[in-house]
Amino acid sequence: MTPAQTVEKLVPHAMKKWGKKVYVVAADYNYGQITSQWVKKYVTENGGEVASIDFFPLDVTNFGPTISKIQAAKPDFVWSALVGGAHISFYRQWAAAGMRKSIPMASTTFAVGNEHIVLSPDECNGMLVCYNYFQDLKNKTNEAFVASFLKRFGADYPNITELAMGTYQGFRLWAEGVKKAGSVDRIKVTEALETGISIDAPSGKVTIDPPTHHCVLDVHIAEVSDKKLKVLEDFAQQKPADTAAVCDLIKNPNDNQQYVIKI
Amino acid sequence: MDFVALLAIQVVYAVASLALVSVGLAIIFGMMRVINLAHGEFLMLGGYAAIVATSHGISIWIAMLVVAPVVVGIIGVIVERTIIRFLYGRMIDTMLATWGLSLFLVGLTTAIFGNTTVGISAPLGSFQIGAYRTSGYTLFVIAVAIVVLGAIFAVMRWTRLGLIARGTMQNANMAAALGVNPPLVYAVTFGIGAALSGLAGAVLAPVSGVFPTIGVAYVAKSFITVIGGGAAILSGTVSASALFGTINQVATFATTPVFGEVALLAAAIVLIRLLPQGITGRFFRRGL
Repeated sequence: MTPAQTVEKLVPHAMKKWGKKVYVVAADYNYGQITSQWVKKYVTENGGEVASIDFFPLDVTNFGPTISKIQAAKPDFVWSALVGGAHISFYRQWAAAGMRKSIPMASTTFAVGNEHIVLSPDECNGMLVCYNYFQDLKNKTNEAFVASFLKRFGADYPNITELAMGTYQGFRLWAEGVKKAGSVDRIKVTEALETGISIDAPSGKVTIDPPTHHCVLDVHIAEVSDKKLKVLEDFAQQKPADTAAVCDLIKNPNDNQQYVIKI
Repeated sequence: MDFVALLAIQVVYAVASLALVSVGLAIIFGMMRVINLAHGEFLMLGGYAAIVATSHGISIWIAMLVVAPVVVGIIGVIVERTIIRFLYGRMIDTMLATWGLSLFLVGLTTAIFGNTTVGISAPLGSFQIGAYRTSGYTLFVIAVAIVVLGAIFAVMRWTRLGLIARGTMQNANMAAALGVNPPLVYAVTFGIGAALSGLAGAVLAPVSGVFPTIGVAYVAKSFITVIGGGAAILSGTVSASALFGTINQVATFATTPVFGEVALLAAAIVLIRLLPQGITGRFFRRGL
């Protein structure tokens, strides 16, 4: 998943629903740093403003000062790119400070670590998220997949996440590549993958985009609702347009630059 | 004005939570010279004890304030009897053993509870200070820290138990000659240190969540506080928590959370460079 596939969809959705002033809280590592810049880009393009972007080391558990700063900034909603166990404290302290009634929240990281199950419904209901896969997607492939997954790993398995699905897709795509190449040789498999292989995954059709090695796939916006993720809006077959604008691995196979945007 | 009041509460909260997570470690290190690298996991177990108890219908207050310290205290005594007691005076070996114990406990809790554990929300709601809202639970954590530190002071200063403990730590052979049983004192002390860690982990569970590796988030700061505080358990913990907690919160307010963490670590480095024996190596030397 790239920012153009998720952040670009969720930003306008949330802004239409809640308002134009956004406060970003992000984990202080690669993903948080880069994603928060994309959030800023899409918010600005949609006529909004980013009040502030605050970064947090991954082991920070006290968010008191930041919650006060957010109250002082009075944004229309908060965008979270926080990750990991320690950062769950933020949602908890946010709810404990009674902020849930006044300022809503959107995220492209929340629920990937099953935060929506760890937290109580009172602490996170109504939060908006955007991913390729949700366990409750309604299609035949997914229903069969979930049934056999629960049979294999136990009916009490909490939730099949976006990350689990990404890993499953990756392996299936590689297997398709091997089948097509008739070999497990790295170069041959890469070439086979670059013919634009696709699979019918539980998350819908997934096709490799040859120039970027990312995937064209379905995206959905969902809302946290009593420990479940309720899909609100679907976007079929989204291309990784942002990466495609800068990266072409067909022309330049040895490209290993990490592209970041400057605003 | 209301922002200043809020800032003051946040600073006091940071100091209180730092003191709370450190005091169990301070007792074990200060009195027994044992570096317990499984300290973070004792905190984690306290959180799990509270969660399991509340999910079995026990009141959250009893779960946090009674069940968690009792359970972790018992675990502490077991650990002392089975591992630590063979390693007194062998600091490196103790570190290795407790580090192994820490990895074991993380693995064990992951195996039992998995990575997704339903936590407990902070009770007590929120209250308004001028234009700002903050959590009522913040005040509860501050109150618990004050009661815990007060209780430690009272026990150490005014009871026979405290006298025996202090005597044994100063000179175990002399204490033994006077009829005290040092192994018993060590086991009890280690148990009490573990129990206080369990209490801290449980009290902080509603604010920070509970998962197998939560100990990592606390252990470094606890060690910095204990080393920065120096030998005296109570005055060391209080003075180091006050210093580091204030620096961390004020820097976070004034700049960003990243610099808040950096400021805390920088302050710790400068402090240890200037006062290698910790704050109580130079000041409050006669404190407890």
